[in-house]
Amino acid sequence: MGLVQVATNTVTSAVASVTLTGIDSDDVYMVTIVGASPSSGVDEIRTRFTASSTPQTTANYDYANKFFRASAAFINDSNTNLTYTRGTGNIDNAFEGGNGIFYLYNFNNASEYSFMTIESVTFGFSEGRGYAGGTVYTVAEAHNGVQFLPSTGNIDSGTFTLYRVV
Amino acid sequence: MSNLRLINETEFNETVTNINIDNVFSTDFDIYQITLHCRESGGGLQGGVGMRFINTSGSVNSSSSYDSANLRLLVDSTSEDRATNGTSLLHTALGFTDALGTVSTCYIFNPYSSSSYTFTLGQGNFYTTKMQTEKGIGVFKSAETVRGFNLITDTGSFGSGTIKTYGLRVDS
Repeated sequence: MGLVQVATNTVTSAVASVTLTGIDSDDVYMVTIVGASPSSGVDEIRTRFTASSTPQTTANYDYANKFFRASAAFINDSNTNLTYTRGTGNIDNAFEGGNGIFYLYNFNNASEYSFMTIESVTFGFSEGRGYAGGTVYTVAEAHNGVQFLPSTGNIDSGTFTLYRVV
Repeated sequence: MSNLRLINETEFNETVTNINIDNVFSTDFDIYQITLHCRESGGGLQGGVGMRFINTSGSVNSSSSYDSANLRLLVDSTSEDRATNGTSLLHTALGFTDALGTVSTCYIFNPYSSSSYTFTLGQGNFYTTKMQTEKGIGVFKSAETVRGFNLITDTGSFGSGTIKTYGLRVDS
């Protein structure tokens, strides 16, 4: 597998969100997050897809994930018709603990839904946590990128990078 | 040129039960991809492939600082949740060794950072009489720089195979 970098953003001071764009082909794309930290004590990182670089906020995101927990039973976490999708579990901002690998499919195709696979690992509420699953935005339109944002407050740190898989 | 760069390739033989891959982490990369391909051709016992980290002094850290959460998927039964908290290694971070083959991939996040915990995402597929999959996450709960990793089986040996370590480059 080869990876060609398309865009990157390293957060060194608080921002409300991070947006990566540059998807302009029918290839599969991959996004990585490393060291993401929310400004609030413990928070998740959410994701939206961008159309013409504008994050899409209509209630058309569905997701189905397995929620891994190091000190409790795992949970099947799913939802439909949200205005965002869940990218990571809870991140304790003391440990720069938001990390993930996401694959993007069909984003450049205006006649099909866009899909994203989710694999992320965090540390929150005193345990290692993870998400594995996927999400779809149920509007047939082209998307050129993704936005990451916390549920409240800002993102204080982290490196977010978009690659094209070749 | 791909942003995925090969850092180390290590081959091993039948007798190995404990492997150090040292001096592979650096400031050059924040994310690493580890691949394991092995086959315990002697028909030995299935053994979990645990991971520990090597500190800047070259010692393997086996303190009670590791959290793991793995989902074991079976072809002939319901899946099993396997969670451990505060143990001496990342349990089955690269799945299991097996007689007819193991293929595993694990991503490691921020091992060289002294201010962050070290995190892993892994998945292994393995086969003796049936295919099984182990998929999970891990956290090394110590904010310290680590320069390499150790793989250890809890039963039997790795057999023969190869471990490759790649760094995922970010160009600013």
